[in-house]
Amino acid sequence: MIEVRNLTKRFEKEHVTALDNISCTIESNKIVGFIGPDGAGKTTLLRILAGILTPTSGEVLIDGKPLDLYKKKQKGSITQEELHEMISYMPQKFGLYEDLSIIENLTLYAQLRGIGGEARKKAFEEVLAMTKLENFQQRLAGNLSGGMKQKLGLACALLKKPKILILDEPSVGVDPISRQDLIAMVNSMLDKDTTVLWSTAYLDEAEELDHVILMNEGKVTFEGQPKSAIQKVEGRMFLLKDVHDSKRLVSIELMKHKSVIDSVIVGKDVKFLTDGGNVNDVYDSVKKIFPSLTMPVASKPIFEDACVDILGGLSEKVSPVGQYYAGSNFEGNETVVEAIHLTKKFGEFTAVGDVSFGVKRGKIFGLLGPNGSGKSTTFRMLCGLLIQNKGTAKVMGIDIANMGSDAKMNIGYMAQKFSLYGLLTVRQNLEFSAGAYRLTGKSKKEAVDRMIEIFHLQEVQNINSGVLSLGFKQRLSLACAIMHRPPVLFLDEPTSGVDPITRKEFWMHINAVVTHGVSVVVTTHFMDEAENCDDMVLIYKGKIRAQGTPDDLKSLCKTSEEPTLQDAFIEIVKNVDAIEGRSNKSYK
Amino acid sequence: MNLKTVKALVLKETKQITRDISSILVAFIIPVLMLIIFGYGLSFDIKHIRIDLVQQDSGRIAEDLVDLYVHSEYFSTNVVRSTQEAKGHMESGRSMGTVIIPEGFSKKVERGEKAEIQVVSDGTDPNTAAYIESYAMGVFNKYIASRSTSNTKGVNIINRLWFNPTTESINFLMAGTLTMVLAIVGTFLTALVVAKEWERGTMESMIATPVSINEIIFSKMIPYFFLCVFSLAFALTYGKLSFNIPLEGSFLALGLVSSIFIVVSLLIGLIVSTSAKDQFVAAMGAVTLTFLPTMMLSGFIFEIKSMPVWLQCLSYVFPAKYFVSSLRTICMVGDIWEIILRDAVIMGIMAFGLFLKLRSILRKDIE
Repeated sequence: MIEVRNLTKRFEKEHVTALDNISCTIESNKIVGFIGPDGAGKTTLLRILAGILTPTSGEVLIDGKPLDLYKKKQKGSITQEELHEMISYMPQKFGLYEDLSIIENLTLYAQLRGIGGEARKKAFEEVLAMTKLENFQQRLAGNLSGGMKQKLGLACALLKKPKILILDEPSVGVDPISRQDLIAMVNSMLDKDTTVLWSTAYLDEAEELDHVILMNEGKVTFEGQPKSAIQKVEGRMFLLKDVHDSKRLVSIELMKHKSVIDSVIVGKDVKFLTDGGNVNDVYDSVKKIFPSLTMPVASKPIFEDACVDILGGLSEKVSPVGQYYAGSNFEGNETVVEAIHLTKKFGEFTAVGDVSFGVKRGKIFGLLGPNGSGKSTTFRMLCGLLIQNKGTAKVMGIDIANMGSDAKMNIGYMAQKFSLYGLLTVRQNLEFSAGAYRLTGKSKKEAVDRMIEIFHLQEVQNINSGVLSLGFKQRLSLACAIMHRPPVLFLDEPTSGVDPITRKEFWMHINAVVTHGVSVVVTTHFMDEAENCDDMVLIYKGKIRAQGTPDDLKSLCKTSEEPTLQDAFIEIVKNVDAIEGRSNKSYK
Repeated sequence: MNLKTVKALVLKETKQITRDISSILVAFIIPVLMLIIFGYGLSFDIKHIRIDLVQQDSGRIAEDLVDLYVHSEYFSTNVVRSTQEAKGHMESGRSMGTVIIPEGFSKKVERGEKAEIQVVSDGTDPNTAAYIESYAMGVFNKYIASRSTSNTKGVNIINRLWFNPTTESINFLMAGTLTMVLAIVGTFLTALVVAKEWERGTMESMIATPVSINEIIFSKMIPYFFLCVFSLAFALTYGKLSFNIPLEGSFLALGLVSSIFIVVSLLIGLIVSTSAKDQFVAAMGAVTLTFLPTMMLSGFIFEIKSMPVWLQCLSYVFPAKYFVSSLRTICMVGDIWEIILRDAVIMGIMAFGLFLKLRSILRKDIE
């Protein structure tokens, strides 16, 4: 049992309190999930527990014995050396030597842990079989795909059966299939008397764990079984079926009702969470505007719904971004973004082979696929960041290759990584973007002021954007992308690493602008986010493997009664692998 | 300290060095490049400087003197008629200086009067200007001196060439060049590799294992120590073969001071990268702490005695000064143990201090 008592960590230089007097208890032989937004303090806590970071105050006890956190070498305490004998720790960046091969990495970590001879041989056989890396032993770690690196990192951590296994976001940026493998590996460790500390941003992953600790801004906001959290929202989750094209408007209307905490688009349906108020009341108010709606049916809540409930729901329920677009509606039903036989080769390797699709006015189009499938390459060709070998990419009917700067005014782009100027303040970044999109004088000032108001940036407007939390950065990036009211938005993994509430607010904004005729092309690893799409393609090994609405994709899944998009995703990819063999090439 | 762990880490480090083409390049190509640059490019030796000679006197003695200038190996002399023409050449950069033999020069010499020539040099490059001045005067004085044995007397002779008899500055520069090589291989490369481990998160992973601080320090130092030794040996051999650099002293003395200096360089590299944990900052730190002081304050190129006092004091802080001094002694003079031991002891004390410093900042802590 690990007891954390009044632990506080302040980073004086950065003026950040990463952990604010937190206490929690972690029972032995369980998988414990640390969840919460970026900057919540998960990594800080795990590093302190791994004995490689000194807290400001507080104590930690392992099986009743205090941990020598401050290196005072008090009698009866567990020293850093003793702690490191009993734990295995996998940091966010895996800790692999990229210029060493798989077997060399394993050998090094075995030697560091003092495993030799027969025991080492046996341990290698075991972890290599479990990770399915036997056939690639001589391959350099740097040439492995993201998922394989993760497995190797885990294998290095599991060489000596640790008493405590600490995994810091082992599944960040990893596709659903690799994530499944990882969970299976860790689960197989459980009967071996190991306590696993697992931090993650994926709430669906956390739902599978025995015990979760939900952190926010350095504090523990929920501690317990995911099931017990879900129980609290049981009976408050409803589904409006077959809403189809009016799903976004229905969702917006639902949010206006005082009893509704959250509303989510799930393919053609709309799901909503109430505060326990009368659901018929909600139905009646929405039915006034959409008479064809059928009665809502009770729906099974998931852990994410419970978290939204615990965190107190969204701070505002109607997106002001929609109002910003009001008056500049884009009408029509034409195709605004087109990929025509797009092909991209890197040397001998075909990253994208003959991909074609179209995105209509006022729709959200999703690009899905595992890591290295070619979806990012496709995305980059579409917005003109990468030049294709064959084929054409068109935006608003104009070939992106010959696109002048006038036509580029039609595009808003949000990059995967924060790509604004870290040394400029929030306001200066907005002013720069406004200038870049040719807003001047009064209209520039107006647009900047509106963005600050809409995205609640008042308090941070004079702070350098580089030091903002990820949530703020993400809002600022969106503000810079939409302030010139472009009819087409390109979003590249816009929500990765962002907390659930900010993600929900983000999608509320996106859905709101789409009702004004904006078209959106988005890539994501979150399957629940992909449910917002009207149309999507699943790209794997450079080819389109499935195309259609979220429900079309789900119907392709034969293994499950009520398949989720994730089930469908996994099955489609596995079917391709069954025919073509699982690719282990790493793509950059 | 567990020797098995150190062995495992040393082995890993060695594999990384041999697989990374850039560390091989730094260790073996940079020494050659530096020797070539300093051997041919940055030469202090004056040879064939372009000057103009304005001959206003046509007497026999003036003709003799002109002859001397034209045949001097220090100058490539162009005889012109007017100062106007010479001035034009200097302005356009075609010549670096002008020697004027005034009218009546020959007569004055014949009469035993004090004869003068005028030397004008391009002050934009004070170094060369100074050389032109002294060499031009040197030629003149030499001539006067040769005459003085017959019928002239009382002429001052200053033979500048005496101070650099071989006229090969590479011998002089060699010590500094080798110091710079070690600064790059020892400090710069080590600083980069450790910072890389922090950046890639491998250090975070390593310090969470039962490995100890001493094991980490020694496993980083051993392979890079040998890399430095190989690099130094390679550079010395190359210098011997291409520039015939002398080695008057013994290998024992050379090995002693080199080993201590290498350890000092490695420790500086480790300290820099432990404090920076960022490859870019570590690289900048390594250059500022080793490369630049070696260049500026070790007496390698710039004479320390002509610096302001406070800068002279500062030069004592940098270990490069002691290595340059003892290396120069070993190469050009021989085993003068007074100098060698003094330098070795000072560098040894520095190494010990640096080790303690490293021990205190490199903890198994991420912050």
